Formats: sequence, structure tokens, C-alpha cells
Amino acid sequence: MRIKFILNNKEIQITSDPSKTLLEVLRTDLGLTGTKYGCGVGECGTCTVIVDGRAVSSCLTLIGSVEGKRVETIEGLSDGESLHPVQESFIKNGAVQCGYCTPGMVMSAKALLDRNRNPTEEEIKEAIAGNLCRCTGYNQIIKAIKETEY
Amino acid sequence: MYLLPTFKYLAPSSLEGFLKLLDKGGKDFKLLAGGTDLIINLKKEEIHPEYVIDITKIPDLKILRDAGDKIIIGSTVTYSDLLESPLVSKEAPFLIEAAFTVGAVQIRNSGTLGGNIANASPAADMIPPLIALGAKVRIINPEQEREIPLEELFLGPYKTKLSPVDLITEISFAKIPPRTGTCFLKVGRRNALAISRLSVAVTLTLNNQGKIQAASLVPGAVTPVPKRIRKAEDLLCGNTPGKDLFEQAAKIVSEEVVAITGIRYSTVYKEPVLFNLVKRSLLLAAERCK
Repeated sequence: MRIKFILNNKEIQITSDPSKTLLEVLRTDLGLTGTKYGCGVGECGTCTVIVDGRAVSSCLTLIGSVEGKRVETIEGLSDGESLHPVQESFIKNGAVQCGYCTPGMVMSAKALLDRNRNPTEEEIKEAIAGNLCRCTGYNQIIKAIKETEY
Repeated sequence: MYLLPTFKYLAPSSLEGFLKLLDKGGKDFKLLAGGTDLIINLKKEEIHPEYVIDITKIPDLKILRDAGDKIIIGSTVTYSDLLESPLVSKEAPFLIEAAFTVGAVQIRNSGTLGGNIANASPAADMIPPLIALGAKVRIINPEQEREIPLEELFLGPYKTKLSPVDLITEISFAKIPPRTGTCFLKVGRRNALAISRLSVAVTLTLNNQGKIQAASLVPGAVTPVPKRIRKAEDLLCGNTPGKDLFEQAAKIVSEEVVAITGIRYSTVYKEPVLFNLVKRSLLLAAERCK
């Protein structure tokens, strides 16, 4: 089937087997491997992308369902030269250890900050409750989101 | 790595379009309302439908409106939509408490009220408060449209009266009367992303004398089919709210649940936890009546 959607601010049209998730299409067909595969069942958050302004698990999103929607992935955050403020803050605060959860964390943080520029610590924790970091570096991540200059 | 099996995908853009698809008949299909359960079931190869029909592109199923004396919520309204609704927050505040305990943001942004109901997990968080509100579900299929009380929809864990061609279009419930307090409490294995081990939804309405005029009490995740514990509700009605009364009601709920499920390995844990959860939710609901 043919699917048209906006990916990182560019309208694209693809032909895909409908029995694919958005995650598979991003990683395998489009080569955007920034978004990670973790659990495959919506529990770990590392495949988080933003669809129409909301953080969703791309491993639970069928490709057909993004028809006409606006999809943002980690690749769309930086403009090539300069990083997104959330990314800057993650680096500044050492909020990255092994890095596997990081794209999802950053996307969840962006989805939060896009709606709420000055979130409380509780709101930050709630926003990343669905993003697991097994290096357990949560304190730095929370600090990074809090200190993002947005 | 989990991959999806092969299926055909259909996404009707209207109810008429959906009904026409079904009319062609004979199709082996599953409805996609949010995907937070369906996609997992597909990946784990628990189901093998020929078609997946995505109902999230049907605008009629996305309504959330004030219909005078009642609230009508479309079946593909997400948990996040509910959480952001001032109407729900005002007219059925414990639905907000329940929606907030579901999964994490990513799940709440995709998962839907109709999906939660149709999936019929005994641990579904939205079902106890909706039953406590006396909610009804509107169902259509190519032959007819009907409305039934939500409490009568369930046959057992993951089993409902819905036929393969039935679609839940709306969930509706009466606005809570003045001097009503509601409360939803849940116990999971952990704080975030927890599946309910036990939950309870209550409503209490006081009369002008401060006595309980109406009560509804629905424990979740402890019985195969969620239901009101009317024996406990009857005990509450006509009495003045208070700790002793609430403890008596909580005792009845625990006893009734054990009577339904029998003594299990988990009973020694669940019985006292349920007792305390019911007592606490009644105390909170009573406070909120003012």
C-alpha cells in the first residue's frame, strides 16, 4: 500500500507492506536507525517517536495508521550542524551512558517540553515513566530535561 | 525480535464505510482501536486475522461531548484525550484517576476507551469506574444498532457478548448528581506502567441530611467479570458516612469477592488489601462529596 505522511518536516510517500510497524519502516526501509528496537511490546520506550505532537511507541504503531500524520524521530531534531536544546542539555548533564534508551528519552522529553516549557520534576518523571534506562542514570536525565533551555 | 504476521489493512474513514466493509461479509478480521493490546497479540501470534480494520480514522468515534444530562464518549477516544478533558474532570473525576494509572504516556496516547472495554481484560482500569457510573455502550453491526449496560457486556476474562461484526461506537453515562464523590484506587506491582493487581471504583451521593442516598462500588481485577457489589452498596445507603460503616462495607466486598473466586493462593494477600482499598476509597469519596 502507498502511505503519505510528514516525516521530520518533509512530506514523504512510501510503498509498504501494511503488516509493518512504523518502527520497522523507519529502521529497515528508510534507514533511520536512531529509533531503537527494545522490547517490541510497548514497555521499554526506546522506540518512542512523536506522532501529531504526542509520544507513542513506534513498535505498536502500524505504518498505515500514520497516513496523513506528522511523524518526528530523533533524526529530525538536529538541523545537521546545531543540536536540539534537549540534546545539548543531555550532553551537558552527562545524561547518556550506554545510549540505547537515549533517543526515546529525548523524544519523550521533547514531547513534554513542546506542551509544557517549565515542567516540574514530577511532570518530568511522569513523562519518562515509559522509558526504561537500565544503566539507571535517571537523575542525570531528569536534570537534563529540567535544565533544557527551550 | 517480534515481527508482525502478514495481514491486509483497511482503514475506513466513516461508519458507513466500516459497515459496508463488513457487509461484504466473510472476512476474518480484527479491529484496531489503539493497538496497545492488538499489535502485541498479533506479534505473539495469538491471533491470525486476514484483515486488520483500523477504526481510528473514523471521526464519529472520536467525539467527547456534553449531551445535557449525560456525557457521550466515542470508542476511539484515547486515555490522554480523557485526561485533557475538562468535561470528564468535572462530571466523572474518577475516570481521570483511572486513566492516569494506565500504562505510561506512550500507551495513554494510543490506547482507547473502546479498546480497553472490548479487550475485556479483568485488569482493565476504565471498566470499574464506568460500571460504577452505570455506563452504557452503543454497539452497531450491519444489521442493527443497540445499547446495553456495560455491566452486562462481559462473559468472562477477555470474553464479551460482542459478536465478530459488532463495533462499540460510544460509551455514555449520566452526569454525577450534586453532592457526589467519586474515587478510583489501584494497586499494581510497581508505580509506573503497572497492570492492576487490584483496583476499586466508588461513587457516593449524599442527601440533604448528609446521609448516603446512593452508592456504587466496583472492585477491579479480582473477579472474572467486573461487577457492582450491591450487598455492600445496600449497606451504605441510608446511613451516615463514617469509618465504621465503610469498614463494614469493605468487609462485605472482601467476602463477596472471595465467595466469587474461592480461596486461592493469593487470597491471603488480596483479601486485606481489598478491604483497605475499599475503605480508603470510600473515605476519599465521602470527603469529596462536600
